[in-house]
Amino acid sequence: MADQHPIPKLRSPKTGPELLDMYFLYARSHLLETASILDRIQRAPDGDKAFADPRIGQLIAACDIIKDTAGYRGERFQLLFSDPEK
Amino acid sequence: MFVIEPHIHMIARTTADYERMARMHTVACCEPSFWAGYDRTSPEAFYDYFTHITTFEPTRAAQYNIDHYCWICMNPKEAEDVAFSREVIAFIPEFLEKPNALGVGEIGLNLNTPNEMTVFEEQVEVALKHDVLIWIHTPHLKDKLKGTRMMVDYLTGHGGIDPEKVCFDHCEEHTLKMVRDAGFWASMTIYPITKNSPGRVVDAIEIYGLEKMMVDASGDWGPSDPGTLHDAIFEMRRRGHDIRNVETVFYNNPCFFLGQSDKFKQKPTVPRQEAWAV
Repeated sequence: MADQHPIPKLRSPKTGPELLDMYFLYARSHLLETASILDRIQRAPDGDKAFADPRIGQLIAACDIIKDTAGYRGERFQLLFSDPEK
Repeated sequence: MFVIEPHIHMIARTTADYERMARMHTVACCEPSFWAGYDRTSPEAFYDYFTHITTFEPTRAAQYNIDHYCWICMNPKEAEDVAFSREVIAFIPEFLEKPNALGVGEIGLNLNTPNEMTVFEEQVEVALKHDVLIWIHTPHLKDKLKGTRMMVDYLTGHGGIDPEKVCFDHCEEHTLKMVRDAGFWASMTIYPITKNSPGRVVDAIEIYGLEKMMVDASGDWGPSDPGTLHDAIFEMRRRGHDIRNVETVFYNNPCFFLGQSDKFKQKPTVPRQEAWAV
């Protein structure tokens, strides 16, 4: 996926460590929200049934995208949640 | 720095929002035709709606020194009934003559059906016949990728379309490349939960650059906020980007695209090639 894209055209004025400082708590909070939502569903009545829903599988697959280092995670995340083009 | 809001449904917003936008240096806004939250029961209801956005809204906006522009069309969410749509399309040219009407929009797809596509294609022809700009709505969520591809393929295969005069809106990570590779303008909508966040639109600007890129807040009657456009400006500033590049995205680029209509009054602060030089 990443090799289909140009090198970013507008260079970030900030370094990676600076961006990590800016966004660490923001990213942490979003991941925590997702973890808590999954827990909320699981402990509810028929939580196991909900976990058989393909949408839960999509969310878990999205976590796998977040974990790998190939880049363009946002685009791959969007493609995971898209209907096929044809 | 002045700001232009390229896509917002002011009919659904309070006058206090006009005041907020004015305080945040918004000098112009553009209102595409859209769904009212329910399906209209007659073509006359569309006639009244078009009258509203070509008369009352520009007057309301002018009280806050904001120039209000609009786009006229049968929106994709009500385009499944082709016969009904054709009754509406019949009086679109009358409204394209209004002093604040920039073109045909937001036409496009909702569920990617053949009927929606027929109505889209027929409205493209209206735009071509009257030589006006086109503003395109791309579908939501899982339908976006396929619907965007359908419209990009149709327009690139049409033979009579100048991509410079067409903007695809609601672009996201997975649709920007195809829209830009085909030479069209792209706008990204900031909308809580279902579209872009301020951070993600600035990510896209960093990846794809400044050329033919716009951002809008698409405020309507759903959870949305005109101030999110200015949140994106703040996001770009706090990442350290040059103020000239921020101005390019949030003021000059809308001038470059919308200024292709003689009706659009705002002028860019620098020429296009200078604005896009990084």
